Amino acid sequence: MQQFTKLQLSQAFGSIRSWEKNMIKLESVTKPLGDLSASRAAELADASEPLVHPGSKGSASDAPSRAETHYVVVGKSDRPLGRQFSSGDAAAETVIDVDTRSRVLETDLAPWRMVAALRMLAATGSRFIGTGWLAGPRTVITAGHCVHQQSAFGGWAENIEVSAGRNGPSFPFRTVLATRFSSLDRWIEQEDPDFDIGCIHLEEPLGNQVGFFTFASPAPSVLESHLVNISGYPGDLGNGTQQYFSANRVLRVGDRRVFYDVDTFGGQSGSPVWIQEAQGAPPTVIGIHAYGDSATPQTLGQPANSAPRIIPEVFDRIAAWVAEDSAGLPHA
Amino acid sequence: MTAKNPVTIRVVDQHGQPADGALVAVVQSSVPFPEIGMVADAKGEINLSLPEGQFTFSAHAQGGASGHVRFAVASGQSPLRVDLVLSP
Repeated sequence: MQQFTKLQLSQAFGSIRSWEKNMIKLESVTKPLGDLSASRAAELADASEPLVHPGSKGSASDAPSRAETHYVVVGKSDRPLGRQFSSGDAAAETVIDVDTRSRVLETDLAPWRMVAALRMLAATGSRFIGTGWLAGPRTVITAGHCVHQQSAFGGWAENIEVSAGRNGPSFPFRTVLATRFSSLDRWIEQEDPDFDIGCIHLEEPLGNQVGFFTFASPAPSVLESHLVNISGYPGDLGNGTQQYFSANRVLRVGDRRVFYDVDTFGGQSGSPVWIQEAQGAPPTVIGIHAYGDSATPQTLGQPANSAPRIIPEVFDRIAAWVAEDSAGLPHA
Repeated sequence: MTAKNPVTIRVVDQHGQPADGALVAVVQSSVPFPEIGMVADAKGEINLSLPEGQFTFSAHAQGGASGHVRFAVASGQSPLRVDLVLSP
């Protein structure tokens, strides 16, 4: 696969943490395990490094994806994308105007296979669906409410089935059952939508096969007017078993969230929100999709869906989860 | 954290039979609600705790049947039961 040096990535994203004036401290909270002692978190990334964590296409097929060529949008745009596609009903608010979602069939190819269908089981016996994305060999990132929520789970998920690249009844890669999860203290204690981020720790290195996304914390000026891509597993099309993609322009970059009019639906919580600087550049996740229009401030003046941004503190936490998982360390 | 109120949504087909496995999601709400998908159980039910506000839930079953239901949740109310009826 194409490799990028840290210097190239730094030049592309210009993302040194100096743009953040008021750094906040985020703690990881991990589902307690009876027989594992707590351990200190892995050392955070060196502050002098650009905030880009490189990805990998994995060892599976390196055949190019035609869907990537046709669907994925790159760079910035001074206007929203045209809405030339229509694949479903537009009754849902999170599908804004005409539904522009397109089904991805090549889910065995990168980058689509780095997106996973999630099936969560709560301790109450209730079942849920969501989406996650590989951030490292043994690390899947998703929304915080996919691993922990009081209102429906009664706390931590009991277990989560992770099916990378699921395509209807077809599973191109083995489904992994996970029982170890983490989130951020601000999600666990306050259910703050700005920090609705969760982590699924895998017992096996699925990411070495399917690959994992580059993720980054670009400066807001980099994200403004950027085109963003989202792919996940919505409940209204294919019953949460089929991967759907949509893309459009960033509408606003908030301090901790990014807003866009990319069509999504329930089940796509946890989907990667990624940008690409140019054709052939690595798909780079900059947010974790979590909310439809209900969480959009009226000051935006139009319907929008949103994701917690990977701000520097979140970047550090995800990088630490990846490092801990890769080293086989227990989580604090 | 905001106080939550217990709500049961029962998803049924046009004949009133439970829609086991139907996918349920919030498509409109007056308070932030995440884009998670909820799977109806063998009784066609979803059990939640919701804050005060107005909600529109959508359900989709295998085979294409779908439906919506809109309701309000008041703070401190007794447990609420809502039927969501699917249409082919």
